[in-house]
Amino acid sequence: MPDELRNSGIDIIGAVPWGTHFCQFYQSREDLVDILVPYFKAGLENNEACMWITAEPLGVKRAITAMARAMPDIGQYLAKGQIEIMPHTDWYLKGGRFESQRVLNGWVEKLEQALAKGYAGLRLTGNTFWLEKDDWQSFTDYEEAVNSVIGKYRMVALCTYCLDKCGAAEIVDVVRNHEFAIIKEKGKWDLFENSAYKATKGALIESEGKLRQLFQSMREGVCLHELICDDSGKAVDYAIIDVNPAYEAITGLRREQVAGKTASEAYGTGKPPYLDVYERVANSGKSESFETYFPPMQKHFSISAFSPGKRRFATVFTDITERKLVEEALKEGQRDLNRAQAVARTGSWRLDIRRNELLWSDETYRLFGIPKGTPMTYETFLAGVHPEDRQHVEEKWAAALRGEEYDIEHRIVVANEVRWVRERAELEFEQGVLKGGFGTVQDVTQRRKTEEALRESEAELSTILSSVPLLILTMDPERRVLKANAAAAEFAGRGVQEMAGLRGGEALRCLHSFDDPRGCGFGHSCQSCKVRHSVLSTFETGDNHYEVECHLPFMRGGEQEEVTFLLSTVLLNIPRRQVLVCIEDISARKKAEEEILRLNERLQGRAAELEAANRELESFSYSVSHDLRAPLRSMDGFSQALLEDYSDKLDEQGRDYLARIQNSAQLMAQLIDDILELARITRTEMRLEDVNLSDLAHSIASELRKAEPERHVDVAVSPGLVARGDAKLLRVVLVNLLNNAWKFTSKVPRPRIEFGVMQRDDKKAYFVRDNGAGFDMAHADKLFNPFQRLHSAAEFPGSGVGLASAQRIIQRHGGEVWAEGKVARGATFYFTLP
Amino acid sequence: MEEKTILLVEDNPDDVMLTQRAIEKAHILNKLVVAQDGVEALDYLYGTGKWAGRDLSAMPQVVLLDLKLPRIDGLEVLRRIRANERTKLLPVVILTSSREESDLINGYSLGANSYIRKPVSFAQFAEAVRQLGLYWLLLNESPPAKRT
Repeated sequence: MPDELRNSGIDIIGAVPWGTHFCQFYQSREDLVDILVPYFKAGLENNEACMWITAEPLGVKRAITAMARAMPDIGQYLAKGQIEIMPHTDWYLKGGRFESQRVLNGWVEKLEQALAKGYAGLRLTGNTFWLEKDDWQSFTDYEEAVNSVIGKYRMVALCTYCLDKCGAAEIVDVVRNHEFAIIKEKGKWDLFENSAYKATKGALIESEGKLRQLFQSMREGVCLHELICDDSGKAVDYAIIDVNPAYEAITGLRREQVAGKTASEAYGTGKPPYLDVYERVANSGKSESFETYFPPMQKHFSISAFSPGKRRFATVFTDITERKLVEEALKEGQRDLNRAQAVARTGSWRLDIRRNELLWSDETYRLFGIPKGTPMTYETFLAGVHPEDRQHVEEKWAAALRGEEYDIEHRIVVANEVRWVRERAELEFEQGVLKGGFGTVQDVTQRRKTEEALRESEAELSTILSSVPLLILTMDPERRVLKANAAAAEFAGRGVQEMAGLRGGEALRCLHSFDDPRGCGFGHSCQSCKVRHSVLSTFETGDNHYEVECHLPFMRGGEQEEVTFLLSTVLLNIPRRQVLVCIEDISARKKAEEEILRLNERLQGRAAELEAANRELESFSYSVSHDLRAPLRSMDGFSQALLEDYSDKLDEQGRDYLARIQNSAQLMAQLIDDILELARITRTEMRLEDVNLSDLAHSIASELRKAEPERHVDVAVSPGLVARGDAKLLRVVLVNLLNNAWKFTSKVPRPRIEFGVMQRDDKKAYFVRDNGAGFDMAHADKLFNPFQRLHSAAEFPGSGVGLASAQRIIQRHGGEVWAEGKVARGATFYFTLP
Repeated sequence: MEEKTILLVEDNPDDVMLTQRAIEKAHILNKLVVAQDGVEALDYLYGTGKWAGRDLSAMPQVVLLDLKLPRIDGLEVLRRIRANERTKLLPVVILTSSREESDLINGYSLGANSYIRKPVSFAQFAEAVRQLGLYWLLLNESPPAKRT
C-alpha cells in the first residue's frame, strides 16, 4: 500500500493514507454538507479525482450548490471532469439493482481513468440512504469487500449512513467494515476508530512524520510529481503534487501556487520541463541526475530524479547558479588570461617540485614554438635557448636557485628565427629547499629591434650632428642650451658638455650677453636681437623661422669678431618643448660676396674704359684704312703717271726710283691691311661650333696650289680632326700657319707640309710641320710678336703679322701656341684648343 | 643719242684725277661729272643748289660713290637716292678705301649695286675701273628714265 498521507479536509481526521475507507453517520442534510464539502475541496486541491454519489437528502443540485459556496471555481473542476457528482441511481442502481462486483469494478475503473489523466488518485463518497433493510446484507458484504480491496488502491472512500435508518446491529456492521467512523455528538463531530486501523495508522503516522520532517527540513528542494499521459500512455505533462519549503526558497514559488498544477502551468513553459527525462525515470524506476540551466528562473540546477512508484517521480534539486557563475568566471578568467598573455606576448610557467611538474601557459608554448601540451622539462626549455645565450641562462638559473633574482633577457630560436624574451621568475623555498616557482616569459623582440634601430639612428644622428658645419643647439623656453653639437662648441671654444645650461648668447660668447652677467636676453642689445626674437616667437606661436639673416659680434679666441649668419628656429616636442636653433656662419661667404661685388664694380668700370678704348680704336682703324691709304694711292698712281707720261725724260735710275716708291706704297698698304686685320681678330665676336680642321686644311692647301700652280708641295692632312671654336678665326689660324709653311718650303727640293694632332700633357696638340727653312730656337720667343721677322723680306716676303694673328686667335680660344724648329731643318707650329 | 654721264662723288682731288686718268685709259668716253661732297651730289641729282635748273631727265648712267665725304657722307647719299622715287633705281657703285665689314654691310643694305675697294696700286685700280665701265656702261641695261 502506498504509504502516503492525503489531507482528508476534515479537521478531526487530518491526513489519511491512500486506501482509507471510512464512514460518516448523519442525521441531516447539513451534516452531509459539513463533512463532504471540505472533504472534496481538499481532494480537488490536491490533484485527486473525485466522485460524489448523492442520495436524499442531499441531491446533485444541492451538492453542487454547497460545493460552490466553498469553492467558487467548482465549475472549472466539474468542466474538466476532476469531480463528478451524480445520483446513486446512476451508480449503485445502474441496471435497476445493486450489484456489488459491478460497483466495485466501477470504482477501480474510475481510479484508473483518474490516474491516466494525471490525478494523484480517487476520492469518493457514496450515500446509502437508498438502502432498504432487504439489501442491507448484500451491501454489508459489498462494504466488506470494499474495505479489503480499497486498501490496495490510491483511493480514499467515505460512506455516509443515515443514523436514523440504522439500528445497533447495523451500526456495528458499518463500523466493522470501515477503518473509522465519524459521528455527530452534541453538535460536535467525533471519531470512532476501528482497532486494527488504529495500529496501522500509528506506525504509518510515525514513519510519515519522520519522512515529512526530513522533507520539510531538507536543504535541497524536493518536488513530488505524477506523470500525465495521453490515451496512448505517452507522457504529455506532469502534475506537481507537493513541494518542500526548500523548494519554495529556491524557486521563489509558494507551495499553494504550484501544488496540484501541471508543470507547464506552474512554470509557465509551453512544454513541461525535462519531460523526457522524467518519463524515463517514472517508467523505469531508475534514477537520473543532471545539471541544467532553467531559463524561466535564470538559474542553474543540479537535479536528481527518482521514482517512488509507477508514474510518479520526485525531484531533489539544488541551486547551483552561484557555483556555475564561479565556474564560468573561472573559465572566463582563464580565457582572459590566455588572451591577455597572447596580447601582451607574455607567457607564464609554474614549477611544482613535489609533483615534479613544469606547467607552461598556452602563450609560453606559442612563444617557444612548441605544440601546446608537450610535456616540458628544464632541458627542453634550454634546448630552445639561443646557443650563445645558453651559458648565461644556465648561470642565472643556478644563481636563482641560490636565491638570487631571476630577471634576464636572452634569445631563443624558433624555427630558425631568433626572438628575444625577457624571463622573470619567483622561486619558492621552504627551509632552503626549492618547492616550486612561478615565472613569466615576455616576447621583447619588437622592443629589442626598436631599441637597436633607435640606437642606430641615434648614432647616425649624432654622427651627422657632430659632422655638419652648422651650429646646432636645442634650447628650453628660458633660452638655456639643452644640447649643442660639436660645431657650436667649437665656435665658442668650449667643450660640448660645457654648453648645456648656459644661456644661448653666453654659450656662444655673444658680446651682447656681456652687457649683463645673467646672459642672453637681459642685456639692452638683446631686446632687439633677432635670434632672441626668433627663438621666443617659435616657442610662443609654434611658427618656425628659416634662414633669418643675423649679424652679431662674438668673442672668438680672445678677439672680437663680427659674424653674419643664417638662423633657423624649429619647435620640437620631444618630449618636452624645445627649440632647435640652427646657425650657419656665412661671414666668409658674405665677405666673398662683398668682394665679388666690389670686383664687379671695378670690372664694370674697366669694361666701360675698354669699350671706350675699343670705340676709339675702331674709329682709329677706320681712319687708318681710309686716310692712310689715300696718299699711298696718290704715291703709286702719280708714280705710275710719271712712268707712263714722262718715261722718255727719265733715265733707268729715275724709273727705278719711281718703282721703289710704288713698292713702298704697296708694302705700306699691305702693312696697314695686316694691322687692321690683327685688330679685327681681337675685336670680332666668337661663335663657337664644331669645326672640321681637316677639311679647312684641305681647302686652304688647294687655294695655295691654285695661287702657285708651278710649285709641287706634298701636303699631308690627318683626316677627321674636329675641334670646337670659331670657324672663321680658326680658318685664319690655319691660313697663316699653312701660308707660312708654304712660303718657307719654297727653297727646298722636296717640300713637305703635314697637318696633324698629337698628345701633349693630356691635351691634343694640333700641329703644322714643314721641312722648310726652319728657325733658330734662340728666337722662338719672338716668333709671335707682330712685325717680327726672322728672315729678310727679300728671302721670304711677309709682314710678320700672320703668326701674331694666329697666336691671338688661339689665345682668345683659351689655347696655347708654340713652335719648334731648327735652321734649315724645318719648323713645327703647335696649338691647343680647350 | 642721249649722253651717258658718270657721277663721281669724291672729295680727294688726287683720287679724282687718278679716276679720270683710269677712265681715259679704259677708253671710256662718257662725261664724268664730279661732286666733291654729298651735298653737291644730291644737288646734281635733284637739280638743286649749284645744279639748279639742270635737265633732270638726264640721269647718270652710274654713280661712283666714296663713303668718307664732307658734309653728307656716302651712306647718307645712298640712303637718300634709294628713298627718292626718281633715283631709287639708279645704279650706285661704292668706290672706297674702306674694307670695313660694317661699311660693306651698310652699303649693300642701303641698296648699293656694287662695292669696290680702291686698290693702292694704280695698275690694279685702272683695271678695276675698266671692268666697271665695261659692265655698267656697256653691258648693263639702265632702268627706264623717269619722266616728270
